[in-house]
Amino acid sequence: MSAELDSQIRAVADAAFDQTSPVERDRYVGGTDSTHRRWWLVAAASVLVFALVGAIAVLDRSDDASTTRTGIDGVTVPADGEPPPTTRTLPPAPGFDVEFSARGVLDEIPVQSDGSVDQLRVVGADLAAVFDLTGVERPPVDDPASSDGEWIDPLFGQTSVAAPVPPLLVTAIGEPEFVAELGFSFLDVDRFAAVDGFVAFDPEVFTSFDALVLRRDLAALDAAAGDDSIIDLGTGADGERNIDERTMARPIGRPLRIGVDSERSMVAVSGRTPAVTSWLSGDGVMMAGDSDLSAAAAVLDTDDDLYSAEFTVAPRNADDESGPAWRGERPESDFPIVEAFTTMAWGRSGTGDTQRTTVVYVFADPDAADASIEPIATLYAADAPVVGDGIDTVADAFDLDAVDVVGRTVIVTGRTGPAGIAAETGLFSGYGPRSSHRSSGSTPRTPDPGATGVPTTSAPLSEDDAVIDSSRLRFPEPLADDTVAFFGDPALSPPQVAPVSSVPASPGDVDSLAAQPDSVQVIVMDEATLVMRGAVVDVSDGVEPTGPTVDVGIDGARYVDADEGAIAVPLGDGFRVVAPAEYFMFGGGGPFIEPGALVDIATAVGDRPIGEIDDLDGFYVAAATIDGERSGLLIVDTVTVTHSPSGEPDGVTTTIVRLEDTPTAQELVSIAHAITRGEIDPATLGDLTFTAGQRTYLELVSPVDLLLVTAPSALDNAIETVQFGPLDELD
Amino acid sequence: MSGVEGLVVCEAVDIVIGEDFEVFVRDAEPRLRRALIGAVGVDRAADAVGEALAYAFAHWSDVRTMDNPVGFLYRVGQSKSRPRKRLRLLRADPVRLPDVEPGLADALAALPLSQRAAVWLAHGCDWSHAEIAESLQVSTSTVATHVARGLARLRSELGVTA
Repeated sequence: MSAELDSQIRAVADAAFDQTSPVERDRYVGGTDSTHRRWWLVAAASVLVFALVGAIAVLDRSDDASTTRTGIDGVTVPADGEPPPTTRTLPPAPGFDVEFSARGVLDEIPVQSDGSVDQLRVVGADLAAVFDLTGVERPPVDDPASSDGEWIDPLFGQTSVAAPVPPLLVTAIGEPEFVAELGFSFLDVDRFAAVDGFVAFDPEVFTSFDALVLRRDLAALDAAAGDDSIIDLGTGADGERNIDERTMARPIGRPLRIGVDSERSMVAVSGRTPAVTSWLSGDGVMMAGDSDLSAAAAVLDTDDDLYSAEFTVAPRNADDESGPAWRGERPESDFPIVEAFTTMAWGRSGTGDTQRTTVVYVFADPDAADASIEPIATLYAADAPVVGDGIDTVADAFDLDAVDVVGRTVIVTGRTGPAGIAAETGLFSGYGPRSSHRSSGSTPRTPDPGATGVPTTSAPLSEDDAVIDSSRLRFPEPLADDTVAFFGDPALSPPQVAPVSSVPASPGDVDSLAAQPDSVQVIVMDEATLVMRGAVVDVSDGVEPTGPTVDVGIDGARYVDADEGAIAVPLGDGFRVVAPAEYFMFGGGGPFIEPGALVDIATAVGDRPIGEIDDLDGFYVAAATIDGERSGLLIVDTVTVTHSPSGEPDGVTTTIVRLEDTPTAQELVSIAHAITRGEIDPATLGDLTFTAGQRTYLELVSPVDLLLVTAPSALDNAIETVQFGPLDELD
Repeated sequence: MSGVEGLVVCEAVDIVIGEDFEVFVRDAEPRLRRALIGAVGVDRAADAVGEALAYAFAHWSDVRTMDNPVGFLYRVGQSKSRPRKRLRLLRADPVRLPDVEPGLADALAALPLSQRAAVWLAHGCDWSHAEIAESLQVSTSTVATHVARGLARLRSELGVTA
């Protein structure tokens, strides 16, 4: 008799209702919650006044004597001499499942387990809006057309609309295997918020995190989830690698957790269970709790048509004195922005043909912002030189409207330049004004461009930059003729494994290692998958190992600290530090670390002279700096390929150069020279093309050996997504 | 705000809330509060209602034209207050409800959210299946399924057949 149960439920509801009180008026027309700050900042933004006019239309424009009208109809400011007023609360935006907002992006991302938001890149986009803006029809997920990718091009980069892609899905758009494993597709995603970059010392602190609003029925996912609303993909603990369980979604076999919130039609995917649990419960601290991030979000959210937001958090905990000594000094004059800022945000908005871009810098205080407005304006000046595909100056990529300072934020607004959205995206993603910024008061990680040949905004890429200076390539003597042996272990001869050369992932990567007089970079491969980029660095001081001892065959070897992110091996006059390459790039190993591999590397190198480490059993030695001089197989960063050989924009051309015989290392270099100089036109070599990821092009210089020639910005993606194997399979 | 030429909305600029909004709140607030208890629990219902009404205040010109504004705001309040896996429908103090199975409140709270929301709105708040479907953005048949399964699960948990 369900009616009886019905009555009981009604009685419970009555009792529960009686235990609550009517919500006070202040709860919805005023208050002091987090949105309070948002209103305050927004209300102060003269540049954004027009965005506010509609929102404050309900305000009474009374003639109260304590206020003064502005030039904008209906808007008032306090009369001179008035104390700071009590502000009202801007009513909160609806949840992320209802509407996209920059604040909503931050609301969905848990902070790292150590409570910090440092050194993260947080992205989010309203993909439903992007589909609408571009007029692209989503093919059904189960439609074969969904996997051919043809619908993607007009969606990203080919129009005036641009948005990031969920990092989780960037390599697997339309891939049936990926969809089958996760239970949803990129085509299901309406909105997303994600951490797209992470630097943390402790691998348990943070891994990737994607929160996705899906348009599909989540009943199947809900049913698959346990009582904790979490689906476990793969076995083992967080971060545990199980090489037998590799999948497209889990390339090195680490488990993934999918949190299912069917009520909000959302899932969260991460390798860290606590992050997913926190997201599900809503009990954890989210990125929105960070005042700098939320300040930037508030600015972006003043634009009702915002459809993408990206936040970059500077490494606030590092400074000149406490930062690792390897971070070389850089002349102050290299940094137009002399005041430290903590956060940058970049938003895209618009409807139809009226696309807008907003860049927000958050400083510690209004004085710092005031001091930075002119330097920032200089960076974005139309004639400011930049490096990029088909662009020489900022004006090619970005049409600046205004640079304004509001409180402790500097706001840059503008529109896409004539070179199109791809050029503008490039402007903000590495080589444009952004890379010239000094952040957070720390010693910048960007190396001296003069020492590395890495292009910067200080000068456009010239023809000469694209020519390899052979004198800068030095190889161990005698130079091996057998390329395969030189790349790696001859036992892993083709076609089982195609070795890979190493390219610096960013201007701050290998070159930071290169700043060390003695260092070696090691590529750790597991069969055909990149496991870790390790670094062996000898230092005379500055290391105080405090962690537990570790058996690497050398007495006194121990972890640098309890987090086991780096091993210190005592040498006669200092220490040898073995760590992930990222440890030296960012000062932390984080999820890049593979503890077992770390021990293996340390054991393999032992304490033998670093100059003799030119090959290691089971590892690839990619590059070295001995007595301050670079050496190695192929210092590919000196190739400085920022244009594809065929002149296409970065990452859209894929070319195979097929040679009949295995080339020598010298021949490899010559080929790279020739390609870079345009002496070999890959376009004439046939149609043997394939893709890797979304934006990498490859030059295969023999049937078995792979030479990655790519823009540094695309390297990470290239290394981690390319599938190595016999040529036939690649074809 | 020295040095910043802009505007500041201050306390002195009073906000005139339309009479129709006040009337709306008087009617909607109890319904929203009762409904949201089932979604977010008795401890967070007020917060959820506050969020929903704040949204209504900011978007009153849109909300006032809706056929079922309470249903829409229910979803807004729910989204702004993420559901907890474990929540309380009644406060900690023991509540002796005559003719109510002692474990019913806990069993209700333990239902999956989709089932709990449907059961609560249907039988605790007297919402029609159509109203529930609109609020939850599902079909009425899905609502019926959630309600049926929810009731079945309650009976199983409580060991009752009625």
